Amino acid sequence: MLDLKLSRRTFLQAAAVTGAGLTILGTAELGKKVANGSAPEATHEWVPNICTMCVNTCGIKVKVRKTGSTTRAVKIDGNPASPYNKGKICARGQAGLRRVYDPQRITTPLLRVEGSKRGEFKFRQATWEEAYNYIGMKLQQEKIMPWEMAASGGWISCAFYRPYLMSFAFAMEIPNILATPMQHCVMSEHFGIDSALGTFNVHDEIVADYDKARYYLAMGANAAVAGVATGRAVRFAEGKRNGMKVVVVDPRLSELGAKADEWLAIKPGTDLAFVLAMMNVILHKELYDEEFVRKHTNLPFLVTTAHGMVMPVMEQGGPMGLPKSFAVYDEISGTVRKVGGFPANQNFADIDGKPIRPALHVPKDLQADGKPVVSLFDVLVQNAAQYTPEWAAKITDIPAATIERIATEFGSTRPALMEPGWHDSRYSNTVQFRKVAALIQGLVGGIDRPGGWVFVGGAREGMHNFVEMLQHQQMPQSPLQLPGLFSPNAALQMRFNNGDAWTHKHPSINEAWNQNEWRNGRPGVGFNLYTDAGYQEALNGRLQYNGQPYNLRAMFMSQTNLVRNFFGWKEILTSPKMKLVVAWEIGPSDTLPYCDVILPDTAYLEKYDPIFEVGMSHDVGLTTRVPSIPAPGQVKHTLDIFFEMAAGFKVDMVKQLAGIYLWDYAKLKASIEKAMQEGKGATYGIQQYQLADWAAKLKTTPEKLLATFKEKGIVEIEKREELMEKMGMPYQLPLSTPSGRYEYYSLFMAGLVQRSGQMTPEANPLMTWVQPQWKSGMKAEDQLTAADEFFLTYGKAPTTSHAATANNDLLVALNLEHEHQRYGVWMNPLRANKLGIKTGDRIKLTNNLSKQETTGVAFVTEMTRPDTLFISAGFGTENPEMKEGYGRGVALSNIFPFRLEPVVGGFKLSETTIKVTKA
Amino acid sequence: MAELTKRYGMVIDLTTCLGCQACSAACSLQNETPYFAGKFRTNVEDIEEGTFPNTTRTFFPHLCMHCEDAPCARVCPTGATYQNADGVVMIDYAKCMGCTACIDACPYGARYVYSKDDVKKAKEVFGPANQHMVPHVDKCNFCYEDRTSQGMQPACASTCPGDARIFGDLNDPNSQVAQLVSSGKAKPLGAQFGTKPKVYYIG
Repeated sequence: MLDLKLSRRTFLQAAAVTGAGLTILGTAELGKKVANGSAPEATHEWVPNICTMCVNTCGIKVKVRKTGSTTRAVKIDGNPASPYNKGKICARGQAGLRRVYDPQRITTPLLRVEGSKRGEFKFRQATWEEAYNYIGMKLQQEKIMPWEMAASGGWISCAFYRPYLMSFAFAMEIPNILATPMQHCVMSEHFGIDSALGTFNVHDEIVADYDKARYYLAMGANAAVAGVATGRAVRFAEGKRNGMKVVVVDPRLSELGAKADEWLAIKPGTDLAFVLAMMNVILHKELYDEEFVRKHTNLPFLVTTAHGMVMPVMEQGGPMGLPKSFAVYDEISGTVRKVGGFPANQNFADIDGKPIRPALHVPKDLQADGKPVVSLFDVLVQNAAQYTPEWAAKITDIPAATIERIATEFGSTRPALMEPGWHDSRYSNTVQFRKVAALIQGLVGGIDRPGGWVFVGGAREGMHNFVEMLQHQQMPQSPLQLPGLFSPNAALQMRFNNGDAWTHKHPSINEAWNQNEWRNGRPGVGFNLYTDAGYQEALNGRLQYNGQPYNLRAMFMSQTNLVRNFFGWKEILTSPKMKLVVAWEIGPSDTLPYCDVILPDTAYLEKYDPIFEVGMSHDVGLTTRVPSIPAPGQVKHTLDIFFEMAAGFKVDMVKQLAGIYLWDYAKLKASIEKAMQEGKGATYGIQQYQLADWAAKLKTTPEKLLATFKEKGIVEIEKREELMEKMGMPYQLPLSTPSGRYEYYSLFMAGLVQRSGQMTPEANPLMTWVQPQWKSGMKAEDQLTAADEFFLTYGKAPTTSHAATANNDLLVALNLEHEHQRYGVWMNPLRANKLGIKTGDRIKLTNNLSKQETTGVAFVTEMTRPDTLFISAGFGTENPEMKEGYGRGVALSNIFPFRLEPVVGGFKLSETTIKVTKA
Repeated sequence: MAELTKRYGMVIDLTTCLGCQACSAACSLQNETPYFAGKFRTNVEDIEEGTFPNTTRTFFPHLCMHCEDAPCARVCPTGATYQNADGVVMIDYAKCMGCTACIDACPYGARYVYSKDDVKKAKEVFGPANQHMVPHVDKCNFCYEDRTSQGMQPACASTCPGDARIFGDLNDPNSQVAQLVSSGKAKPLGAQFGTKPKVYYIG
């Protein structure tokens, strides 16, 4: 291979050199004696921080140069002390300096110029006092009620500030939190997995153990590794060096696909058929880990199957309203026995502690509680029988023999690893697809074992503390004390779905909308957490609650880019019914033109922060931020802005925060008030409080703790090996599922179905095939044969992903190295030739379902299927103020309509076909 | 040539290069080079070959090969390009008169002009105290002054998420680079040019 590259490369280089058009330097430069690096005397130091160019939270070290009175960050390296990214950092992380020193940074409050329209980006500089006064005046003048407001947080809030955004909303009595990663990322990709594993935010709670796996299957998930998630890429590369076989199933040859031993170009939207057939093969050939399946899953549980509905035999009365026991068939005694519900974690002892061996296949005509029962395992096998490799081959375009071989390899290689994924809002069958992928990972026993899905340290701690609390008969005081999926579920039940939890008696817009949908026999969104479901209706006067109109009239947006969430946000934000739009941001985004007030936020290198658990790490540790450079202009910390607004409205956000974390209210209040009085901001006060709190727990002093943070960036508490040994989940501890087991039949999902009264295939608590609705009348096995009609897929490029990376001159320069590949619309030459399209040609894309149109530039490549277009997400910036990113690539949000799938409100973005013409 | 104590070299493992361009980004900021003009000391070629569905995609990083017998140094009229005691091919910016003979001489296309306009823009981008006060011909120096001579890894190798760049002393038989080279696993690019590169590839 090397030789081949040699000749080709040499030729390319020669061409490049001769065509380079070099400038001869002026002779005037000759006589100048200038030393290399002739800077005045400078000192350097390395200050740890946490990268915030994407949501991975990699540890970094920032090299700071002090020259006279100027302090400048000059280089970022990965932090070698970080157990996640291990001293490495990607191009975006490197380019963080260009985010901080972006000439387009917003450094003063801005007020929209009177008489201008939202969307025009006409702002004038203002003082903080003016800005706050404007907000207060508008709320008063327009008599905006708390439930008519929404507080929105983007991915930075998701990674760092969730409890703070909640505290602000609770203090203000705002029942509407809108989190922009939820529908695209967190829930669409995660919920299917969550339903089995009991996690809430999979990519925070498990890190796949790539370095120890021997077989790795990645489907629809370039972003998870090579797209690039540095901490995962580090492990992946180590796995490759260790000889792990890599299979990538993707309609286009992604960066991850480039590293695969085998690339399978599946038909878009049919991943679910592929994994269903894998399930069929693994069950049929009995390749599963029998011990794990019997002991730690709910597959031995006895169920009734009346009217096609599966219902586990269970007894109510456990903690938190969970079932107290389930039934299994004991092979040793030949009797039906009860096994404990949560927090029990295994099936090898009955409810009285007597050893049993639960059967996977139970005798015919078995009865429990007087009803005929079978095992869930029997139901699964019967269900899977229909999904043969031959069936899947017709749908996926992958030969049956290949599917069978991959399934057999996966089932018979230990440890085998299924990619858990990252960001997936593409199809109505995404939840089922990720669910079945999780069920396969469970079949091979790859749960919390080396080479499988390994929990991060924090997830174990959460469960450990919770189980201890239950053992002491204590009940949790805050949803945040609950582990995994229990936590958001409790937040929904206790707060957002519950009008009585608020003095104004209004639940969230999401819940009001759901109730309306259910009344009209529509499925709504089962797990409707922080979505934008109902927001359009709330603006148009179409949303009712208790017979009264429920209106949306004000938005508070913390670093969130709503107009790229879906196109309709432009209409919502420009509506005259929307009376106030406030945003805090670091630099211009596509959403900022639609605001009335813009508040300048600090960048990550400039701020103090609360103490966080080290993210995405198998170890347990702490991390925080201290500023490495001074903040420019009048910028303020996100959280300081929240606290100042709360103080302005005379509501007690500190009390809410203390309640969420169970912190000492009086001490926290004193610390925050002192910091605010000293002009250091509330966040500094929180860090001070936490330093004292943690120092006491770790038996050290706050000063020593801070010194470690400043030197290493990370305080290690416990290592992966010890944690896995004593807190294995589900080996020593239960999973956060209602049964404590790895759930093949999900009680969470069954609960959603029950609450909505609507059974949709998307929400099937076991598993089922869900047909993508690309266009009316099109069946899964149909092909797109017209030369100008395509499937559309999208995914991540390693250099540009989140809003922080959208206007960065260095990242743009890197993208221009591969200009058409990054910014273009990928199209296979078979079709491109028929349409007379060449790389670089402008083309028009029309969504056949919604008739939305946009244009792009063609990139003709053999790296995608003939029937499939691919576009890199994260490009297509539309705000001309973003001078670097503006006008490059395609804004996907302009071509995708607003449609919600019924489980988590995912957008089904790719579930359509696209017509291509020359522009 | 003075007796070498060290002989720095690099091995690039193509099997774990993920094409993420972290190396290019790290290099540009470490060495304050004119990325804004599309110029990089190291870049990653993205090579597509074959016909669907048998397409392959290879990421191929490029940088100065730090040749033992460096043609660039041979043609340099002012001695600006030289090999230092640790085997690193260096450029003395003050001595470079910008004749670009070295650019023509380099068979690897590893050099470019850091122009007057670039110097001007660099002041804006990197701050007034940046490393490039005069125009010159520029290329990789294994981050010699700021990193490798201080015992650190070059910026590219240090940050590479795939650990595809292995840097070390080829004179040290215990080093990973020396072992990969002596085992024959790592091969030089363009051996036929006869310049004896010190950057090797696995793949």
